[in-house]
Amino acid sequence: MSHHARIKRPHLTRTAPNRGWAGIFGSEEPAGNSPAADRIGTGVGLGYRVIEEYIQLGQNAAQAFSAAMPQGWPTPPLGGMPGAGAPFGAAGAGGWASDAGPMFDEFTRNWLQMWQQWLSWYGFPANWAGAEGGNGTGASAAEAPPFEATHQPGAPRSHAGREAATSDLRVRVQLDTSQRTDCAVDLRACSGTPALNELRAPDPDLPRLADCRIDFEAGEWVIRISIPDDQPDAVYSGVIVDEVTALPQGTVWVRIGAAEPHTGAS
Amino acid sequence: MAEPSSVLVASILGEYGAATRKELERVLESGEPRRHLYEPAADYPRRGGRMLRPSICIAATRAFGGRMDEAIHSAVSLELMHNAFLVHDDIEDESDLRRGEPTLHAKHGVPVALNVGDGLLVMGLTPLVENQRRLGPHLSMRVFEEALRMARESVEGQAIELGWREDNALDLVEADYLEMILKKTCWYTILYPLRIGALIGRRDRFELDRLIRFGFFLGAAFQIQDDLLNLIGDADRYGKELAGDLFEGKRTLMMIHALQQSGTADRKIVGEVLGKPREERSEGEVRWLRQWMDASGSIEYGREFAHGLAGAALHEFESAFEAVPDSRDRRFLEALPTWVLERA
Repeated sequence: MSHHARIKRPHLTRTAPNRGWAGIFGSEEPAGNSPAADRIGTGVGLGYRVIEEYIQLGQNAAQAFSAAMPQGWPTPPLGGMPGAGAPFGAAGAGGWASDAGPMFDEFTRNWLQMWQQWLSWYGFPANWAGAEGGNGTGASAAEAPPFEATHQPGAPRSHAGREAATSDLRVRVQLDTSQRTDCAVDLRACSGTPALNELRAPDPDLPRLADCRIDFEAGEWVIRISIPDDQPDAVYSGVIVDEVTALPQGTVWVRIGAAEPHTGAS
Repeated sequence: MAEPSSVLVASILGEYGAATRKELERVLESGEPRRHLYEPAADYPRRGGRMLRPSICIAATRAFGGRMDEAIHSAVSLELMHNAFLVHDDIEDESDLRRGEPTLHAKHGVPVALNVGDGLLVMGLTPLVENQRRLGPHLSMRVFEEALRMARESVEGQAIELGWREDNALDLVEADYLEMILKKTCWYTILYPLRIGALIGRRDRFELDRLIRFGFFLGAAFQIQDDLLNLIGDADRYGKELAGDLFEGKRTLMMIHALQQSGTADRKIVGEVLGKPREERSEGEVRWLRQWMDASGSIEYGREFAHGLAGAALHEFESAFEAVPDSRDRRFLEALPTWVLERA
């Protein structure tokens, strides 16, 4: 057994971990206990207080707005900020509470008329705004549905997915792929001449799925997507639009490989 | 090898700034009346500037999965509106210099400058209408709604600040200041470009409120640093008159802190100086205000405050962008809190 003194860690002068903002940009001063750290901590705390109060104001306004909204209007998609629930910009917190329904109706009607007029001056089709069914254009899209059609490696390349039909919409998905692939379709309406835009990943550098289309065959809508063998793993999405009115009618997601669906979707 | 963050920020500002300027030139078409509208309207945009706002808009769009061409109209619109705000701000603040040259109203008089500011706002609306062709009706309408929201928040913030000067307010606290700059600065400098980038890139399938904390802390750090540069910056690089905020009687964080630290006698002097119209405020009085701030430790206080907020912005970045894959554009946005403190 050695008689040498055992090497020990030097005793630290501090008694708490170094946490705080002061050292974040390279200050050599220990961050935890200095007066500067206290001042910075106070400032940051104040910042959080201000922004949380602001967010709370928005949530209150959104709740009041939501409660006063006529049946059939979309629920305000966001509750975080004043006016966030109001599709047409800011309203003071609580400002919607007393007479939000009629005021909003009137405001929306006037706004849509003005917008249509403006578009007509610029030569755009003027009927799109009204064609939203009166539910405003601030309506958020529906939640991304669970992935529905699944293709496993080894299965035949041409794969007929199961129906994802709503009450009066029949939809079939055909994926031409050799990779493990999931697919989901969110189709809110389908009329006129729908077109499926190319599908793309959140990373703009990834190649898009350009070989895709939607057709009406034998009483159902058929979505066909061809996926190259070397297509990188990712979640790709594309919008179904009416080619004439350019109104969005739905969305198609394709997940290739083990890519995680982005959780930021709402 | 990844670019160092300062190089990356400079590189993207240059790249996206150039793309925005090119499109801007198309919108700033010359016509009649040239001398009293179109030429002065092109003056501020052509003086340069960092193009921070359009660059954030384009970077956010790409980071969220979109393309530059989908964001360019919104970016140009934002830059035009920014310049419109600057023209009107310079009149309201009675400023003499903008980007190193005389302000528009100093060159052309207040009536012409006011009208040019109105003109720039109208020109800023045109690209939002053009969005319809590239983004479709739904997304272009959503961007328009965000623009309305941003404009409203900005004028409300400006009204709060002007009101403080009008009322010669001396009893403000830091929270008042943060609320004011949340509206006046954070919305149109950071939050709006981030939100429309996410909106376009994710096709309206991203909860935009997730960006608010990051946008607020970054915008607040940016504004405080801007106010510090007004007091201590390099005159040639700053482009505006040094200590201009003191001449204008602005209630900056440093001013609010110094007032809080002062005794009755000093507060009385400050109240008298700030209560005067700008043209009656002498250079000697402004020099005294500047020394009074130094003696109160307010410059250092402002610097520490800005560092803290930038740190909070870095912290909030992760939760705001956790669903966004790594990319050059994401790294640019992440580097901004550090960059706002480093810029001179």
